[in-house]
Amino acid sequence: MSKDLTIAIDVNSPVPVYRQVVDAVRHLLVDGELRPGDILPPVRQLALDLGVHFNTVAQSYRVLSEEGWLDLKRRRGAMVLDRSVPDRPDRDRQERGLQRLREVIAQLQAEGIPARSIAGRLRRLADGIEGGKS
Amino acid sequence: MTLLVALWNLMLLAAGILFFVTPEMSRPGTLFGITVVPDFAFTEEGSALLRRYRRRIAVTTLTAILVINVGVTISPGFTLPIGVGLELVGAIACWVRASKETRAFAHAVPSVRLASLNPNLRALPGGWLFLIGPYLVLALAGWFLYSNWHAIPERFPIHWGPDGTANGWAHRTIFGVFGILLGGLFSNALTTMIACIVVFRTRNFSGPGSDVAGDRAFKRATYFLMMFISYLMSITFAVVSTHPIWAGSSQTSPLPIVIVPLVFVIPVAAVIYLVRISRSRKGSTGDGTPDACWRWGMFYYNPDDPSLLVEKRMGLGWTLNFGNRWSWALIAVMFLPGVIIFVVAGLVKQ
Repeated sequence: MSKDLTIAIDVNSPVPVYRQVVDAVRHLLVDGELRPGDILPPVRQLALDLGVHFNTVAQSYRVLSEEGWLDLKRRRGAMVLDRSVPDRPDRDRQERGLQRLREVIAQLQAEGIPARSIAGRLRRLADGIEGGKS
Repeated sequence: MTLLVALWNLMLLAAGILFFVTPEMSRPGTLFGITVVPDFAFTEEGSALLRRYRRRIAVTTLTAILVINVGVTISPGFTLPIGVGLELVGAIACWVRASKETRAFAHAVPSVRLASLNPNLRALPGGWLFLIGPYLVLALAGWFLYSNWHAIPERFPIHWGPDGTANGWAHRTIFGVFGILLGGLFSNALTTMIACIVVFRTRNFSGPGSDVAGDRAFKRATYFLMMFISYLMSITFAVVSTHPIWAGSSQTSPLPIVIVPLVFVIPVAAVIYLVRISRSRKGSTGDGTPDACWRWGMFYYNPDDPSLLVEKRMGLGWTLNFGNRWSWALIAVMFLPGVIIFVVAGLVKQ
């Protein structure tokens, strides 16, 4: 890990904490901030610092492990794996992911964020993805 | 009797002063166990709350002192517990009332929490050798006693009065010679365990407006203070246990003259040292624990928080998270050395 990375959660958010941890770590993985061979903190340490139950963080690590990002066989912490991006993702999986994106956009609109602002941010994100950075 | 009453008056007065300054010991951002804006104590409302609390503490202390001095002429046996009980219960009631009054000015605890992904965040300050140092001191004393077994008198003093005259004796047996070191071993186990829990099993709170560096400095200070106490106790136990070799069966000892003042000076110096570090923190969000989990602003109960210890909101230092089942095991372990020392001391005296 080249620099001290942090993740943030909001305990008042309707999104479950384990999902927030998964999303935050996955974001760092996709961005390349976390590289293969990097070690994440042990479940207990991360749970302590976030002030959440051990099982919550353990569940997040399991989800990331099932996605192929982490190796949990180590005794201490979790190691980031060299995960190759699948060439042709499963159609159902792709559809589920896009559905989630639609739901998030609907939630943002429901919270009062103007559609133009959301669209602008999505456009910038899309440009980043095409340019190799999300 | 007069001297005893004077002593109790002094103790009640000291307790009153301690309760009087207790709000000053809390970290910036909390007052009477409630999360507030950092400079709240200096605002008009904050000052009024503090003034009311202190007035009540002064009345409670003076009442307790009055009860002791009047009651001693009527029923000396009952007066002392009533006076002390009045002081304690009264002071706690003052705190609880002030805590309830402060709720009206509570500042929301941020719901956003940050955590570092650095896996080596909890390195042991000073390293492992520094941690086991107190045990090495005891081991050295044990080896010295074992090597000089025949130089130990058949009967030797192990306890002295304030004037340095021996009033407790032991015989040259395994318990008699090594029992003191065993006591040292347990007291070290307790202090080093708490020191390690502060490093490894407490939260590094990090949220918007928090003073991460200040909190880490406070943790390090607590760790080094606990270790300092552990080293000091080890040296004391080592010196007392080897006393029969370097002083023989002499009736007097200079040890109390050295140790007794330290018992008073060190805690005061430690509190001043920790208060300075605690109060220098600049965070604007309290300690990050939810106010709703603090009972009376004193006891922390949060089953969702895996921390074993959290920073106290009443006074200075750390308190248990009673919502963590390991806390109860820790309480049992804390009492264990006391029980063992009591039993061992009894055996040694026999």
